[in-house]
Amino acid sequence: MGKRKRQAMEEEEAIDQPGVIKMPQKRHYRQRAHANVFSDHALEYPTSPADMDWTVHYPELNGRKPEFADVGCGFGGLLVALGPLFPDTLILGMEIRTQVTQYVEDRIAALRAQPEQTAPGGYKNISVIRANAMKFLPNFFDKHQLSKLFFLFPDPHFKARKHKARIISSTLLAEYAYVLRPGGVVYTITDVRDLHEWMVKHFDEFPLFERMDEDVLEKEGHGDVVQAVRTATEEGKKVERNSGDKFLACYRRLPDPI
Amino acid sequence: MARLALSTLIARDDVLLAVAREHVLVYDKFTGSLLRTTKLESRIRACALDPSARNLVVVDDGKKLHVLAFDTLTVQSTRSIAKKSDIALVTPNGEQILLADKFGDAFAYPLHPPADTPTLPATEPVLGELIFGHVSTLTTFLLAPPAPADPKFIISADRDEHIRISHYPLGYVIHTFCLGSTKYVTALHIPPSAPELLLSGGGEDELRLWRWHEGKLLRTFPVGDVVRPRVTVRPPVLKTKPPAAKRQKTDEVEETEPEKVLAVSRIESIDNVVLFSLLGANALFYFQMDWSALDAAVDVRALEFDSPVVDFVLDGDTIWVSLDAQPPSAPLAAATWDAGSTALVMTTAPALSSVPEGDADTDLYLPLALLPKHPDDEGWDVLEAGEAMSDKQRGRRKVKEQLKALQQPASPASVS
Repeated sequence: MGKRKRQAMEEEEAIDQPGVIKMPQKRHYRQRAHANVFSDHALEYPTSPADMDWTVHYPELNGRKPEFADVGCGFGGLLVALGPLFPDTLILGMEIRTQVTQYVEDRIAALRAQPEQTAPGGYKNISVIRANAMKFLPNFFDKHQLSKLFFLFPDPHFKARKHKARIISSTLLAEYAYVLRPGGVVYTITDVRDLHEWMVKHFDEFPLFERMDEDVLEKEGHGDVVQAVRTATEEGKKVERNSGDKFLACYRRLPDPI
Repeated sequence: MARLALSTLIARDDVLLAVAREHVLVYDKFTGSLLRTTKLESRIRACALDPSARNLVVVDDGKKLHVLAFDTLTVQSTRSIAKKSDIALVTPNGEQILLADKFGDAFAYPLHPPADTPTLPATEPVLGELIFGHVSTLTTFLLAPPAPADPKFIISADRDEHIRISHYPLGYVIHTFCLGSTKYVTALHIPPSAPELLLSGGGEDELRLWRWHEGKLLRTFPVGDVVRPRVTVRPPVLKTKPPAAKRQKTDEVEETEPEKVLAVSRIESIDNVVLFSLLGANALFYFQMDWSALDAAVDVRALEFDSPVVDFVLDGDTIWVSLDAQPPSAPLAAATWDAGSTALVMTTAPALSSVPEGDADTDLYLPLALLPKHPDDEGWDVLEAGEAMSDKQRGRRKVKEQLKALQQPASPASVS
């Protein structure tokens, strides 16, 4: 019997100990990294933000709505890192892949259920939803609802004919600016230089965004967020293991000129 | 060979302009005689007249943007553009052409190309100024407030049920959305009698009324009962079936007719009468609307024709209607509002001479097949009856079960 299979069997036999919450394992949720954002997936999305029932996601709503959105949250690393840093803020991960979304859902539920939990907020302020953020962001969020938007290690869509599928494009920036309030911050990071330059070019050209370099981010108190952006995700860790570069680009949402 | 259907009707002064595939036709609207015509190299996708009625903007399948002199139909300029556009309009000040391609982006071009633009044969496409874009397929857009006022906003709609209000010319500043439609939106109209309002229609059995600047839905108008019986064209069967259809493991042969698909193609209004048409329906639909009593019930009625309505245009008291009909039926009909009977009635339309012939147009009803969405995902964790659980599924299920157990009070039997 191979080592992997033996380990798996041992893991399974080690269950059912009272008081021990079994965390979901990524290998049970693996799915292709690429999903076609232009397909008509059988996605559920609210007709409008007013129709969205956030109580399903956050047990203690207290009249709040999500303020941070992690677009393409993958396995939820950023959510888990940010949740305790901002216990009073509701944070939403958005992911288009079904199995990956399910993993994050199960992970958050398991974290919340842990006995003797000390994380501020108890992970009750983070959640995930299966959604196509490129198409339906305005369905979920009202104008200027968000104060932070994250695009961590987005799919590079290398081929020119796929560039339209890139998560940052001129036409999409208008929608991101719509859901993000003036003064809000967009965080982008990638290990693909070409994609980084593409994103920077588009953001730089877009009149409603202004680049924030690291000094500014640090001075305005976003240092711990930047660190989480760099290191908290599976993708980020993978890049480190492979000694890759990480290109960070953050932007402030400026006030509307009109 | 078949007589080509007339799409894009434009009425101006004494003439009626129509497009039939590659042909631009200008008819005398009283006698029906063909005054002038021109034939382009490829099918015309969009056509618009500028406010001065001197310039006709035409976009064809060859990705060419032509500007023709309306009185002679001679080509004054041709520009190559990057993508085929399906929607064209000229701004009320006559200075810009707005074109939108099916990928969802809208570009602005000066009406006349600047002097230094290379003339045909052009190798490099001219870059328009990107005004706004949707990720979804853009279906229609208009400028608000309506002409002749100076536009301050763009109202655009897409296949994913969105109606978006952006600023103009700063199209990158989105003002608000009108959200609530549950199917693709394909027609928009701002009634001149109430320019703060917006009527929308698409695949639903209702039209919607909005206060567009606030993004607020005011009411719906149920039209399905009147409209559905008159939709006579079924969606064409595509050569490449959408993925969901491919995956169906049915033993039955697919003999059943495709279901009817609704697609509102145009909405207009004359004072307090709202008129609208649907792709593949053999009628012009209408209802009277009291713009000061928006909640009042409306009586939706239909003026039927012998053939499907392709397009209609308002021309003073007359409504010109083009029909998808073969001889001996006429391709053009006319209607008018009869105040006495408070109904839309047919009037005489001139018999049009020399409507060109060609291969039957297969593209006319393609939107009926392309607009509806086909979800290609199935529930991924549902066990098919009799199938053994995979390791992955078992692993996921274990975590789920333990979490479920925690939420329920433990019963004596479950304690190990």
